[in-house]
This record gives sequence, structure tokens and C-alpha cells, in this order.
Amino acid sequence: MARRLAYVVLALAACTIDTGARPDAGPCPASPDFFVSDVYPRYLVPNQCGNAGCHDFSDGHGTLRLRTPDPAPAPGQSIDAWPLSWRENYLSALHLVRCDAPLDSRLLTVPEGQSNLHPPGPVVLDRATAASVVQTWVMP
Amino acid sequence: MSRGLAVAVALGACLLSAGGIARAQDRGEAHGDLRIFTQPAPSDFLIVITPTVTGKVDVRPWLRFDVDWSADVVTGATPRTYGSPDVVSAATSFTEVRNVIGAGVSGIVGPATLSAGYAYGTENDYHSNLIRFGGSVDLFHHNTILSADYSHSFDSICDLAQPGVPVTLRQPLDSARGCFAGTPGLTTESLGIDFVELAVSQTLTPRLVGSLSGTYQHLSGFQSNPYRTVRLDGGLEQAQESHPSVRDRGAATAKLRYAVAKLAATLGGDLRLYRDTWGIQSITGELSWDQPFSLAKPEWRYVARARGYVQSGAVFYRDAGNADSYERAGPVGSFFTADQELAPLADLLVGARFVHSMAHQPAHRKWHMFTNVEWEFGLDYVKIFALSPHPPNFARIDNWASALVASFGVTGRF
Repeated sequence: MARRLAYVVLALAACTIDTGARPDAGPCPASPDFFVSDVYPRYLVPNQCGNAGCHDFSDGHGTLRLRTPDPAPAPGQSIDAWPLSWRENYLSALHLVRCDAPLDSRLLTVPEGQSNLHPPGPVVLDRATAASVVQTWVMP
Repeated sequence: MSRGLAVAVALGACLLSAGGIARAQDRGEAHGDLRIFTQPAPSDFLIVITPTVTGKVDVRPWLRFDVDWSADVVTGATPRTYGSPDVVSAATSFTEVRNVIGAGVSGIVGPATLSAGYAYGTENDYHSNLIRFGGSVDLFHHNTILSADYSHSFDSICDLAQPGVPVTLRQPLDSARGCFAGTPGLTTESLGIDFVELAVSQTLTPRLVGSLSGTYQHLSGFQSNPYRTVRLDGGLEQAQESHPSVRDRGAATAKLRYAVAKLAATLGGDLRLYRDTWGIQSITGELSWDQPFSLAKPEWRYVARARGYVQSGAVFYRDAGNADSYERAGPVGSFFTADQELAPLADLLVGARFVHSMAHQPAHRKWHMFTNVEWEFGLDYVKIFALSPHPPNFARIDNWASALVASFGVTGRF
């Protein structure tokens, strides 16, 4: 039996998984400027996404986490030079959109109650505006 | 049987069964314990409370039934996103409860014992069904014990439904709300786990018993944590952790127990070597000392132990503090992880257990039932050492105590 165990150990020693090829899928190039000018003030703020106990950075829940914003960055400025709060808020929202199907983005479907994952239930006040803002953000 | 041989046989039984089956002269056993595991880091704390109850009864001299229940109540706060240490991730509070119930049967046929059992585990986002089979043969007046065990677990994990979405764009599950209820947008992933263990225990000398065991585990299916995310490519992508779907794990363990008759003590030494197909190799060494506080009162005893462990990282692990981090260099092929257990680590454990065991005459049973009652209290201190600059949940281990474990148990035999 010891010999069999040794074979198993040797077999494992010789085998390591193939990590495969890196997926050919880049990030969604949604406009940073449009996030500052429209997505944040026209969608995230009116629907109170960043409230304490909701998606506030410090005590919120879920994947979307929003910091209290600093003064807005100037249009055209690289996001690497943005204040941390704006950069992180942009990235946090960006991860919830689908470039190929913006209206299926979780940034819309979850708070609209299209799945059963939003504990407070549907909270989006104006769905038409919300859809327009997200669609324009992703596909200007 | 000589005294030395009797000592060795007792050591062997301890080595193999660790109290797992009722002693030959007992008809059954009831056991309960409570284990509290805590990682006391202020910003990234974790507490796991695990109550366990087991019962075994011999309905015939050759037929034994066992039942067990355990639960894990987990509460803590953790950053769900693994990324650059200069970007503070938001911590998410969580509480989870897992229950596992099981039952089994074993039968004695000559020198052989055959067993089978089933266990069901459930939590909000994870279900498991496990079947197990085992057999052992007790040879040469208990001097040699051969055993083999096999189990298969059918697990189901709740996840966000993302068919066809590349792994670098996959999003995490936000919460367990709606899991296993046919909720649109959610799906159930599967994981199958096969486990085999072969072991032999041998009396080597009248005072020395050794055992050698080998384990092999094959996992196939969804092995990522559906809640964890990893920052990729400067943070522009933040995707659900992506682990390979197949993992083979093997380990070989050698144990020795030496009886120091003059002190009625036992010196133990364990060595374990481990390797898996994700590239993790580890070695574990443990020394233990089990001795009565006084030869005049052998019912009181203590067990002290010290364990050292070191492991390499998985082939697809990249540390957030290194130049080739996921955030700077992207995933390793299709894979990226936020699992601390896949990082290169070492740990040191020192602990002690205090045990009181008292036998009672059948006419004066404890609580009208037990002929032997054993109380046990244990405390372990664990310090984990990161072997890379900034592994996941670094705050949780970068503390004066990476973990403290307290346990309290009572076992009654009847």
C-alpha cells in the first residue's frame, strides 16, 4: 500500500493544471465624463443608492459601494487623476453594466426589482430616465 | 497480554479511532461539544461558533448505529474585493448558518468492521449530500489495523446566472436572497467531491505504535466563492473569483505514539505531506504530550501540542502587493483568486487541552445513565505568517493572534 501511496503522491507532483488562455474580453469603455455629468447626479443620487445602510461605502451592502464624492473632476481628465471617491464610484458602477446589452445591466435590473435580490425591493423612481441614462452611458 | 503490549494496543486504538467508536465494553456513547473559532482583527474579524452533538449505540454486539448534528454560525466582516493594498476595500458584514445532520450504521463481521452513512448539509447558498462507506480489519490481536474509507459528496452552490459571459466580466452574487427558489437571474452550480483514505496502524514495539495513511480527493465543479471579486487591469475590471473546475489533492500522513510508562504519558509526533494539482504543496509537523497531572489522580490530565505548517501558493495565485498582481498584469490564463488559502503561508499553533475522565460503577451511573464521563476544555493559539506581501484578508492574519480557538466538550459512555 505504501508503494501505491507513493505513486499517488508522485502522480500529483507531476501534474498541475493548465491555466489556459486569457479571455479576450476587455472592460466596458463607458464614458467617465458622462458618469460625472449624468449617471451619478441623475441616476445614483435621485434613487438614493449611496445612502447609509444601502450602498454607502462604510456600512452598505452588496457589490455597489459608493463613497461621498469630492468636488467633481474636470471633463476630459484621466480617471487616474480623479479624486479617489469619483474613481472608485465610477469603477464600482461600471462593473455592473453590460456593454452588449445595457438594459440588462445589473445597475438597472436589481434596483428595479427584476430579480429578487434587492432587499428593499424596487427603488428606481423613474425607469425611463434610468434606462436612457445607462444606455447613453454605455452606447453614446 | 503483557503490560507493554496492552499500552501499545491502547495507544493504537487511540491513534486510529480517536474516540470515534464506542469502547468494546460500552454499549454506546453520547457526545456534545462547542467550539469557538475567532480571528480578532478589528477591521476584518471572523467568529465561527460550532456546536456538535453525536450519539452511538450498539443495538447488538455486532451492529452499531450513529447519528450526528453540527452547525456553523459564522459572523464577521470582510472585504469582498481583492486588490491593491493602497485602495481600501469596503468591508461587508455577514452572518451565515450551516447545519449538517448525519446518520450511519456499522457492522462487525469477524475481524472486519463495515460501515456506511449519509449526511445532509444546508445553508442559504449551499446544499450538500454526502454518502460514505468504510471498512477496517483488526488483525493479530489488535496489533495491525487496516482501514479504507470512501465518500462522495453531491454539492449545490447558488450563483448568479451568467451563461456565456467571459470570466473577466462575471459578476459576484450579492446575497443569498432568493437562492434555490427558482429566482430569475440565479442559478445552481454543482460540485462533486470524491474522497478516499487508506490507512494502516501497526504496533511497532510494546511502547510504540505507528500509523501511515494516504488520502486522495477529487473535486469537479464550481469551486469559486460566488461572493468574492478580484480587481483586474487597473480596477477597470472587477470580476467574480475564477477557480479551475477540477482539483486533485493528495496527502500522506505518518503518526507515532510512544508510551512513557513511568509518567503514564504519551509522546506523539505527526508528519503530513500534501500536494494538489493547483500547485500547492505543504508540510505539517506536530508534537504532542499527553500526561496525567498526577499519577495519584490519573483522571485529570492535560494534552499539550505544537504544530508548524508551511505551504506554497497556487500556480494562479498572484499577490496584490507584487508587480505581477492581477490588477497590474491581469489574470493567470482564465484564473484569478481572492482566497487566502491559495496564497503562500505558514502558521504556528500552540495549544492545550485539559481532560477529566471519571468512571462510575454500573450501580451508580452518572445521571442514571453513564458509566464513564469525560469533560474536556481546550484552547489553541494560531499565528499565521504571510509569505507574500499582501494576501487576501491580510488584516485578519496580521494581528497578535491570527486565530484563537476555544473548545468545550463532554462525552458520556454507557
